Amino acid sequence: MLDQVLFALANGLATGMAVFLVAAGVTLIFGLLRILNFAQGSFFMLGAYVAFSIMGPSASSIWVFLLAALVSGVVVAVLGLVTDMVVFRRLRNYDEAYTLIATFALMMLLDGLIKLIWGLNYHSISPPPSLGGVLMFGPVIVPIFSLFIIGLGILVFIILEFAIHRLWIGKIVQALAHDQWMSGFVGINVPLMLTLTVVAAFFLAGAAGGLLLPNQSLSPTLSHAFLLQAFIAVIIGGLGNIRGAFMAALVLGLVESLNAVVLPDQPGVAMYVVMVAFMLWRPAGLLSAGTVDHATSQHAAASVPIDWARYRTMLTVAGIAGAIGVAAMPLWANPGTVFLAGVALIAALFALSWNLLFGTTGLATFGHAAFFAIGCYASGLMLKATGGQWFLVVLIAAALIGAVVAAIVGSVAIRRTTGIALAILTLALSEIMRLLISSSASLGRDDGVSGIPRPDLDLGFTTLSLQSTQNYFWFLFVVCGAMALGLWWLSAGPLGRVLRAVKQDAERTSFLGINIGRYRLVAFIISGSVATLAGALQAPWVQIVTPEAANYLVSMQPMLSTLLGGAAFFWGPVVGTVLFFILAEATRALAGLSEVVTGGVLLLLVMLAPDGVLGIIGRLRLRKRAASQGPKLEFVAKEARP
Amino acid sequence: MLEVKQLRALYGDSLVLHGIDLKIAPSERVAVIGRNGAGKSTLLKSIMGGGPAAHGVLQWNGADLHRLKGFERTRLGLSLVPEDRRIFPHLTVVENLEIARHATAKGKTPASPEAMIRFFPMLETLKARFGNQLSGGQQQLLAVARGLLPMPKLLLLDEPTEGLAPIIVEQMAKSINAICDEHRVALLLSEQNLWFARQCTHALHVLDTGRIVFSGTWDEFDAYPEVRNRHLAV
Ligand SMILES: Nc1ncnc2c1ncn2[C@@H]1O[C@H](COP(=O)(O)OP(=O)(O)OP(=O)(O)O)[C@@H](O)[C@H]1O
Ligand SMILES: [Mg+2]
Repeated sequence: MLDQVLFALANGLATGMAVFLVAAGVTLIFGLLRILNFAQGSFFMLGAYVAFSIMGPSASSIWVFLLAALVSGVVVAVLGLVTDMVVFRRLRNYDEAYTLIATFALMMLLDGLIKLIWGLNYHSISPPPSLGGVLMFGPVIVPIFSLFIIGLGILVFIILEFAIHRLWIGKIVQALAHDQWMSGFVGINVPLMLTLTVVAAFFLAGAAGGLLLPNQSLSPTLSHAFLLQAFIAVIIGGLGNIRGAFMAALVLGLVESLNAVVLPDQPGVAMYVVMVAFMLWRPAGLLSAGTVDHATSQHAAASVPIDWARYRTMLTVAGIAGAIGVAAMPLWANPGTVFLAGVALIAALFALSWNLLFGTTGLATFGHAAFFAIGCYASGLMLKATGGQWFLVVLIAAALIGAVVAAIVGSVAIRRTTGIALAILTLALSEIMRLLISSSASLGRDDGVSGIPRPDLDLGFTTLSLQSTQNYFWFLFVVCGAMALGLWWLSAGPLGRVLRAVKQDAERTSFLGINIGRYRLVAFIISGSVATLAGALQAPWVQIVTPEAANYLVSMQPMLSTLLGGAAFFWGPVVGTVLFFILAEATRALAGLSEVVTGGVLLLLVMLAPDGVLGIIGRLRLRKRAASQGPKLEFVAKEARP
Repeated sequence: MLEVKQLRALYGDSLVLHGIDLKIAPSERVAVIGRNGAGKSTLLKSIMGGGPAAHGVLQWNGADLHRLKGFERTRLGLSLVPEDRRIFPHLTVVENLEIARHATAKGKTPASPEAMIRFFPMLETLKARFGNQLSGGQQQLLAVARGLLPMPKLLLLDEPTEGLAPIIVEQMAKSINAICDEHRVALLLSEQNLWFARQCTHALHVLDTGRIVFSGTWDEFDAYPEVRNRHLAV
């Protein structure tokens, strides 16, 4: 037993230090730029691939190994410079949610590029000769490479600590982290220093990718595990706090390896549980670094008022025509396209449910896939049990389950956190759910539930069979359409007005005697319930569900669609879903290409046109009108408040 | 040296300065006096590029300031002591002074922190304290010392006496005068404390809701008591 624990300890330390190497860069960038960089894990992975290309599956000597890591660091640092100039600088005054989504898009873009360049294969890499092998401490076996990683983590920590607390450049970095505005007025070249820090953080990510390469299996999924763990470490440790990230990474590594000993059937869960517990315990402790608010975040939405009423008739006609075209699809399109269109209908409803939270209420959740997955599993299992009967009851039950889960989760998460904290908390909760599902035998583990029957619809007076793709498609069309109209009615009505007021100025709204926590919770429950319903509709359509339904990439789908279409517009998510499906279909042939295209498009949108496609159309029309009227509209740059 | 013409400044859509004209020659010392919200801080921040969107002529020895970032303006010899002090909490008093070295103009040599502390003797015993361990008054002194350390050609000083005890105000006036005399530092002082402003400057502009309503020497100011009654009385 003791040797097992000691082995787990050594393992845990090595894991913890590996996580720290990624977390250090994340926390450094956040400390200075207030940007939580989703792409950090992908840059880390890029470093690993570059090193792999240089040294092959087994480095011939430790020097080749170190040189490969150094080159990776430099390559990634150069990309970091580009990223800073092209992306980060534009995000300085953006609202948190938009910066998160932008770096997420960057992550997709990079992951896709890596797939395009290096393919999807797994590679296993062994340590260089002098770092291979094991050491025996009595009965305990410790791989030398683990010791190398532990030493490396400690070394990097000491270097960073020394640089930040002892060297003059560290004082400058601290001054910048605390108060950029004043730093400029004591003569510090603020943009240059910020760029240098970003480059250093990226160098660290790239070099870490090369150094941690051995004993990993290298594949395009490498980034995800590291990213989430690094985020957890950074959040528990306090965003922007190197020392905190170090401690937290250690604790996480130990928790993770104890998890493997104590709960071998539920790998990886304990880490998330620790984080969720921590976040609920100290939701405000996150940003305790004590910084002066140097830039008022401004909503990136269009500042030019667009007179939508003028186009209402035109848009309504276009919308109805489009809807009729879609409804008639089984008559004119081939079955494959109809199937995809059905998936798109569900995705559109899912996206609308998410945007009720984001666009209307101003809450960005990153774990909406959890609801979707609950819906999939609930309806899949129930339909298998009933043999495809009682479908309406199944759907209503699923929506109710979703509402209950949302009420429970929301009464804790929504009431205690907002902004980044909420985003990460929901992300962690959905990850926990995915891990639990994939380790549960009764839910089919990673294989999920298959052979879900298409149901019959018992309307009392008659029974409609939904066995055929055509019939089920029409059913989907009616239900998704009805739900969408219902959401539209809600958001145009008094509830929507209050929610928008909460989004615009929560403080003022609460002075008006409105319980903003309760309204946010109501929005969360409605949204969660609709998302669950969307999942419940999907299970019999695709006839299989897997734990991937709860993957955080699925949570991103509604964000992509919403931003693509325009978050400020109720129908934006629907327009975005359609565009997204067309894009994905057109680029499906090459693994990675669709991610590159979607990630790239999304990134461009967030930076150049955060109000989405509908916003662009609106502005184009506005410009035409302004040009024909003569005098130009004068745009006044909104400056950051000191 | 500094030339400001028809300066307008906006926060978002609201116009705060409605066309300010102002000139400051080398080692000249002038005050800007005005009620709360008159726009004094906005004027100083506009000159430094520190917040409001500024339009109009803003020249430094003939060069256009608009195109320069805040830190670049400091390196031309401008220095701002903001009204909210903004001492770095995690740096010691000496480090807080030291860091302003980066704001030194070409051809100038900054003072050492020790030299600065000699001008502000009350900081002597506090050298090793961290910024967040200082009282409000101590922070205020430190902020002024920090602004002067790079030996700027023009110091923009925003209400340094706010909330200070009279005896410290007197001390501060002496220190500022000593440094400005010795190193030929020009001064643009935003103040509500007329006594202090009079100690430190030769002339003044009176600002009322974003417009200069009076410019002249202190003697001229005394000769027109209605300026005081109309634009400064609360
Ligand atoms: N960041 C800001 N955003 C919007 N309005 C502002 C901002 N800062 C100041 N104002 C407004 O601009 C006007 C001028 O403010 P300013 O701070 O320049 O006055 P002041 O003369 O320095 O006053 P005080 O003596 O109180 O410091 C005031 O009406 C104020 O409300
Ligand atoms: Mg002021």
